[in-house]
Amino acid sequence: MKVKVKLYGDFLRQGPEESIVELQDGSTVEELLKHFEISERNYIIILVNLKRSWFEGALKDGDTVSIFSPVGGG
Amino acid sequence: MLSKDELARYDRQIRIDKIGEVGQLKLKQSSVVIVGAGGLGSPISMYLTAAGVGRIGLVDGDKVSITNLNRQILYGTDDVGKDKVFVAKERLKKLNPYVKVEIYPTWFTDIDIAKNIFLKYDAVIDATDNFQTRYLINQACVSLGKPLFVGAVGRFIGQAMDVSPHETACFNCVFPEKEKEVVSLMTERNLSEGIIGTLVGTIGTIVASEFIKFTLNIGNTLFNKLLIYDLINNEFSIINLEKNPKCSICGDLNK
Repeated sequence: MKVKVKLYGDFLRQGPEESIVELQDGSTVEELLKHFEISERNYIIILVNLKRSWFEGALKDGDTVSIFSPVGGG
Repeated sequence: MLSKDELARYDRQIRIDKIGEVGQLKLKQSSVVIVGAGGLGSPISMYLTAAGVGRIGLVDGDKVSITNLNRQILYGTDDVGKDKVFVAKERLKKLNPYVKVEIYPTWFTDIDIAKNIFLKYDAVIDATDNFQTRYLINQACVSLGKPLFVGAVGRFIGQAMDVSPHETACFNCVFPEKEKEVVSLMTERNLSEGIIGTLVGTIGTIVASEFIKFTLNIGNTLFNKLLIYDLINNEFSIINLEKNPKCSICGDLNK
């Protein structure tokens, strides 16, 4: 299956702003994070199709995954 | 009571059924302290002043620099080098002489400085530009039980949330504070990402609206919610939050 991945903030260091990633069927958010070598598990917010998801959340073909770090500027 | 001049000044918002004269009076009787008179603090303080919040505190130890002017709309080119809060006070007084503006040209180097100021206000707005101060403000608000409204930005992303201490998730429940070095590094990275003025405008007005709705007790607010705005893709997301019972700041063990 293919998912669209958008990286924000600190996570732009781990890959492009937007990309299509091919994963095995039944993969979870956790596996996607491993794909990008993202080890952060606290300062991270993941949205799947703009709804909050957790690390064990299952992904399906065509999903859009947004991966945010907290922002602190003003 | 509202004077004839005040009734005219606020006419357009008094006409809104959910506000009315009663709501306007509530705004006049309210007070808030805004920490940070920069990109977020500019629109927040200007809109709350224009809306007729009775007393506004403004905290910032910084001076105006030329690099502030792309987003800090309180200031003009002639203000470069001047203390921010003094310039801001003049600007806000011109905007609305009915609002009492109190200024604090200081940095929050320790929590007692923050607490002594926060005590004098109904609520606190976090419009700062670094994580260290955000954690300190959150801790001071939780310890005093003061409602907190948080706005933050980086690159094209903005975030906003409201905190009702011990009732809803605090900033530390959502992003538990790490070691000093990590927090400094996060701030450094965030600063190097850059900021576009329209983004602080959007997030600042959202935060100001949150304070107005909270004061008037109307509509839906961002307590136990985090709003994420992606300017480049026009995406607004609101995610639900939960208080962390083990939070080192507001958890049940720290009541």
